[in-house]
Formats: sequence, structure tokens, C-alpha cells
Amino acid sequence: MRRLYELLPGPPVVKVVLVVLIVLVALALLGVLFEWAGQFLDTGGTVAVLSYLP
Amino acid sequence: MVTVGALLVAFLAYQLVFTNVLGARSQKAAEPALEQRYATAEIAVADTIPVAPPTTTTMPEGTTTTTRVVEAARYTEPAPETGTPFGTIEIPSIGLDKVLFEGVDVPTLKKGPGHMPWTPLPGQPGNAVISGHRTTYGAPFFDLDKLENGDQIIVTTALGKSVYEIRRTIIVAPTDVWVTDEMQGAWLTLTTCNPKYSARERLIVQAALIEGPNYLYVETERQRQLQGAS
Repeated sequence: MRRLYELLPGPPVVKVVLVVLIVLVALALLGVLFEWAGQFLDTGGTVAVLSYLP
Repeated sequence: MVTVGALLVAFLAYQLVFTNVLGARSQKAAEPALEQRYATAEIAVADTIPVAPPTTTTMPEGTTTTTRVVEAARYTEPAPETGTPFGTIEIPSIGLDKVLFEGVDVPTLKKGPGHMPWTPLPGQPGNAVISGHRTTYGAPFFDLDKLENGDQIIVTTALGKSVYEIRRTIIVAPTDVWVTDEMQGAWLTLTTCNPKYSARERLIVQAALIEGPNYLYVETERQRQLQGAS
């Protein structure tokens, strides 16, 4: 982790901002992934023709 | 391996804990809008049908008395907008009490059980269909498999309380849209994922109206159709 931090460009302030941005993007992507995978667990229970199902 | 394990734990925590917190918050947040609807929705009479025809009786002294026509009315309420709360569903036998929303799109079902907009509203003649999550987003229909024939479902809308009695429970494929087909009388169909923690099938519970503002109308109409058929 520390090595990855050191690889980030710029002074320490820029590095911290970049870390925050990377964490936020990673969390957003994780949320999208979890929502998509959640459809296999529970779609909401509705019935529909195939094209409307997730 | 550790990363995959951590991701799996995070996924389960997200689905089974975090989404249920979100679902509970949506339910609580819907209460003021629901009260507002109850206070402002205008109830109208859409149709009336005679329950009994007028009869004329001639008394021994020659006078006649005529009974007036008793009519059954079908009351309606304004169609709710998609995503808005319009009533509540209670199933005492499994301790369910949730706010109902209009629509079965993904964002609406995250708030609570949703009514399929192309089916009649609960309390109306026909087949009113309500879908709900089984294990996530508040898991309103988690215990639907524990219901038995004869159990009651109470739906309250601006119209009043409509009581349904469960008549059958079936398991179908997610594409079996025939469960939403129009039916004679007034029915309530609940749909949810089956088995628990899987979207492979759908658990369907169908219940018939046994009490409510439109019960007399529905029953009279049913009797008329039966007489017409015979």
C-alpha cells in the first residue's frame, strides 16, 4: 500500500487528494458491482417477459 | 484469496444489512406522503349495479308497496404516480406491515412492495398484483412461504380497508406472466423471488377479496355473471 502511495505523482497534498479520489471511485464501482450481482440474489420478485428481466 | 473472501463478505454485508437499512429508511420516509394521500385523495363512484330489483307487493286491502332498488357501488381512488406511496399491506400471520408503492421498477421496489401499474389497484375488481423483495431492501416478503390458505391480507388505501383471504400458493418461472392475468372477482396476487437468496423462481400467493368498500359490488357482479352463464 505504502509503495503504491509513493508511486503517486506530486507533493503529499496532491497524493492524499488522489488517494481520496481513488477510494471514492473504487467504492462507487464496488456499489455498481454489488447491485448488479444482487440481481441474482433477489430481483424484487416481479414477473416479466425475458427482455424486462435483469 | 483473501481479497476474494473480503469482497464476498462485503457483498453479503451490503445486500443483507445495508440494503435492509435503506429499505427501512424509505418506509419511514414514505409515511408523511401516505398521510397526505389519505387526506386529499378524492373517492369517486365509478359504477353502480342493482343488488336486487324493485318488487311490488299488493296488500289484501288493495294498497301496493314497492321496494326501492338497492345498488352496489364501485368506488375508485385516483391512480398514484410511479414511485409514490399509496397504501399499506398487512399480513398478521407473518407480522408483515409495510407501506405500498406504485410501480415495480428497480428504484421503486427498493422502497417497499410495489403495485404493477397495469393491473387494478387493490380493492378493485380484477387481479391486483404486488411484487416485493424476498431477502434484500427490507425483505418485505421474506416469510411469504409460511402463509397458508385462509390467512388474511389487509390492504389499506385511500379507499379504506380491503381484506383478502389466501386461496392458493404456487411456484412459477420468472417469465410466467399469466399470474398477472385478469381474473373474475377481486383478487390480490403477491409475487416474490424463490427460493430465498435466489432469483431462480417466483413464489406466487393469490388471495380473494372477502371484505371491503367494493366487496358488495364484486360479489353482486360475480352472481350476475354466474346467472348469465347458467
